[in-house]
Amino acid sequence: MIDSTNYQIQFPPGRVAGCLPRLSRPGAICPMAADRIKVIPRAEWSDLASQLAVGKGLKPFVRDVLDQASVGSCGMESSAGSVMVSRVFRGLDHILLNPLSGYHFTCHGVDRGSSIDENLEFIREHGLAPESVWPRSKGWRAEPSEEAMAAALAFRIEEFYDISSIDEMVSALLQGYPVVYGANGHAVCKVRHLNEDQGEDLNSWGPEWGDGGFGVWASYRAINWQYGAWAVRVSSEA
Amino acid sequence: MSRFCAMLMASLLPSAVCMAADGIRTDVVFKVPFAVDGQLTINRAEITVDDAGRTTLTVHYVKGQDIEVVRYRVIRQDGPEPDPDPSPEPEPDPDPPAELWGIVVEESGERTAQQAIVLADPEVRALFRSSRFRIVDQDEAAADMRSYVRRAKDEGMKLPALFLVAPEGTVHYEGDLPATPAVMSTLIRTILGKVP
Repeated sequence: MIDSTNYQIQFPPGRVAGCLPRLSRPGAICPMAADRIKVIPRAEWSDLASQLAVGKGLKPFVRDVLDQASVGSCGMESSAGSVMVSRVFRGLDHILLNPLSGYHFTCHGVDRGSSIDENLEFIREHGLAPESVWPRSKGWRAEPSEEAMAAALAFRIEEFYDISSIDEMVSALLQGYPVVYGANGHAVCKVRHLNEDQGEDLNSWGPEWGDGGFGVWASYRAINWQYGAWAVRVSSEA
Repeated sequence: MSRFCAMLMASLLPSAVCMAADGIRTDVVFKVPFAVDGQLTINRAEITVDDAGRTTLTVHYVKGQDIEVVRYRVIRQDGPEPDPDPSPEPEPDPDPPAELWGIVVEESGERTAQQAIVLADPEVRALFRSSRFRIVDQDEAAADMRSYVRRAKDEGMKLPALFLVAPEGTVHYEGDLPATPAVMSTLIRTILGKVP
């Protein structure tokens, strides 16, 4: 059983905060979740969560845990994680993506972090390059090649939904959508509802963090809505 | 092998007549075409004989969210004398497909939590080879999936719609997405011939 007390809200040595406040006003660049996600009554959460992928939520669709090392790219890493989870959920082949192919642009030349909404908007427009075409070892400073940008187009987000409440976040999770959000200076991707207080996150600090890369970074009440939260849906085109 | 011809009415009539040319073979599981709500489907069937000597044709089919069973009394009529050859080569039952593609056409914004449970179920997924279970949105399907989206629209199918297709293209099932993983698994296993 995952317990948030197992995972203190702290940055391990070598990890840096990289989640910046949202740039867009709610609903300005994407639909509001309230218009796209059916809100599920709280009384049904526990039962539905116990059945979704037989209690593991969207975790069975995670194939790779990303590791951003000491780069402040959590906003793009968590967004990339949501894309990969959504693709596998849809039955598409798992392709390891390189978030730095997008963070190069959304950090605007300085590794001081990025806003989740800007990252999601970038992926919706340009996609992310596969690791096989533009590997992480290229770093965040290197501008992706034309070939990498062309390859990235196949890995775009179809749409993301602006979440404004815990109820919307849990409802999105239970309907099969990972949720990228920010809290305590860090962005992660929620992949499983645990109880009324918390859900389990896919982090981007490698499989050594938490339970194989998963844990509770922040309880629902600790979500920082100034960073925002978004449910992610990928295209079924591939 | 003894042969029989089962005449199944397009609608669910309370009984059907099976004409036996040279006898009826019982306790054999086979597949029959069957109309459910106007949709032609292939379903598991078997012939049994009770202690009183009454012969029954039982057909299992999926209707909506449930596995339904319908039974027909089989009436033998006089026919030609049995084949003088007592051991003719049996006609093989149609082989079930070795594997299936599962294609779900949905309107993503309308997906419910219960549907997500069915779509994500590990047992259901395990019945398909990797990447042979696809969930496509009706408005953004990949080129190889568009024919299913078109068919769902042309036929006015309720979404999410499920297609179970053999690799060579034979559609073994098209209709509603079952409401539970158990019904979905049974449906797939039946088509694959894995239901004992």
